[in-house]
Amino acid sequence: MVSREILVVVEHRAGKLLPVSLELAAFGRQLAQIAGGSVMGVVLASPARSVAEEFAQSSGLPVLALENENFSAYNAEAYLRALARLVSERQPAFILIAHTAAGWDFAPRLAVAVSGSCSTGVAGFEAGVPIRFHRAICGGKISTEVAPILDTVAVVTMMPGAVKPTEPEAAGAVEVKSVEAGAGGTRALGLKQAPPRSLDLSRAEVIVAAGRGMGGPEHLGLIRELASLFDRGAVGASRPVVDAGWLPLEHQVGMTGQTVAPKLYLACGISGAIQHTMGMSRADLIVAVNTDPAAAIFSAAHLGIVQDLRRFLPVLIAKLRDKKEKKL
Amino acid sequence: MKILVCVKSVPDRQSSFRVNAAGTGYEESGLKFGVNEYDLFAMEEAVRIKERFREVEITAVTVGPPRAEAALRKAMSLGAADGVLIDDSNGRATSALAVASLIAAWSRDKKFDLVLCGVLSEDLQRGQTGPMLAQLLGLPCATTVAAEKISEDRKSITCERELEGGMRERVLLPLPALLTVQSGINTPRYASLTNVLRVKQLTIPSIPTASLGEIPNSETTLRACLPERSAICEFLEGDLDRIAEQLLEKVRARVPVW
Repeated sequence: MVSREILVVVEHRAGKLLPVSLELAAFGRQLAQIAGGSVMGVVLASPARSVAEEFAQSSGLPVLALENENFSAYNAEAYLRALARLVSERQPAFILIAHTAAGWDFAPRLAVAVSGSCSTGVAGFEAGVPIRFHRAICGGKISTEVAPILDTVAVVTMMPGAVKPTEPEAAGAVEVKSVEAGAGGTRALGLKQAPPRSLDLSRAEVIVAAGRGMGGPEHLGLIRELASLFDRGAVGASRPVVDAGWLPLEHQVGMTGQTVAPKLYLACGISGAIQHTMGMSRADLIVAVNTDPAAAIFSAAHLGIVQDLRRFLPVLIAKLRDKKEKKL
Repeated sequence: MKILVCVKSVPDRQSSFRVNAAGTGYEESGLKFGVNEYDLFAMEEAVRIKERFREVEITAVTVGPPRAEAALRKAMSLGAADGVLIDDSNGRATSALAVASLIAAWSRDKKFDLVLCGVLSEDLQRGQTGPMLAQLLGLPCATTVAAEKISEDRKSITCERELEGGMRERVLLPLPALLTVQSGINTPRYASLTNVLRVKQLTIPSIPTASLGEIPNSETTLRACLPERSAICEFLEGDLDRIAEQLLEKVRARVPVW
């Protein structure tokens, strides 16, 4: 039996390849070692050649670039039509898509359109028959292994950062093809840049970040005070804190906020959703304080403290202040 | 205009989760359930649309066991005129496709102008049900919507989708359409006590899944387990003073930041 293909949908924005595409390529290669089959990149763009060549060069994979004027910006309907046709022509075993704003938008619909199975937000896989994908549920408190329904195409979205890109041996071949891809009435109206921010968390050496576990905006004084004790300290926040209006968006760390790599990251009352930890996992030292010993944040932290922040932070602040005064 | 809001009954996120006896998910007994937080943002958005346009009727639907009725009552106390329970007491709707297929089968002939879902559920975090439902109903769809505006003629809706890094993408969809709503799109209101008491009295219609045709599946969960404790995380113990002292020593030794 000939193993079926693995297709990797290349993610790009405004003519630029996004780094997650190379992680997907590496994921595809790992999967091919187990499941067999060849791996091919699929680019939907207009124009498509330059993005396709960039991907072929940096991933080493062959690329099929589909061109249609409706691909000049992301358009779910146009993507779906083109990809559904491609699936029915090539009958791949897997379609790998990045678990990003674009990926999770069209992946579940594509699975329905091609009567395939669908697993989203996977962080890795387990070899075997069937192949099992790892994904976290309940805010990272439970790990699961999910399997696609056999004998269909498996649509899989991969968490950014799950796999490290590999160095290519040689550039892959590029084929550019013009395709039909109607968008129905759906129209892309363009991108809106993030509002300018006065706070650049990427320059901070220490980030003291507040999560919902702080209990309320009235307790954020402790976070500010602790952050102020460091020369290059800043206040960070998890998404729920920003959504609740306790702190403005410019403090948000994570997938939809800023990506940071300070020397010290102190997560205070943050549960540790993957969308948050993705934005701070490159910190040199991660300290987590949370009352819940099962919180997922402790899987991302180097030092863990199971305590009530409102009692612990005042003690920590006093002690640090004391040490600084005595130059200890 | 008719709006459908899909809600899900989920355990409190602060819960201590255990693995169920079958080893395929979390154990539900002993957990406190409430409405999926993202669905409350969807519900609030529906109410705001109702306040902007007249003659808007909001229906809430859920797929789940009888306890999910509480999620419908919550939606009704916030402004849904009706609530419908698709009763999956036997727990057959395990995959997102199963849930989406049941809602699609029930809603297909009801001519909703707009379907709103939360962007994902807090428990299973798949983010699939909404877009799958759109595909099954043949509706255009936008996910992670952080702002929306329906045109005056009510024929289209302009959405802002949230992208990585705070950027947004604007997209226009013809109505009817389906949106999945991101947290932070609005500030959900609290239900008035009068409304909470009023909906307590109402009988909620329940539809057995068997009457809604085949239940297809899109994936199987083979195993669930507690995550392995990170080998790298060292827990500091003792009284507050002792912990603070240890922490500062360790931080100082590894990253001299003061």
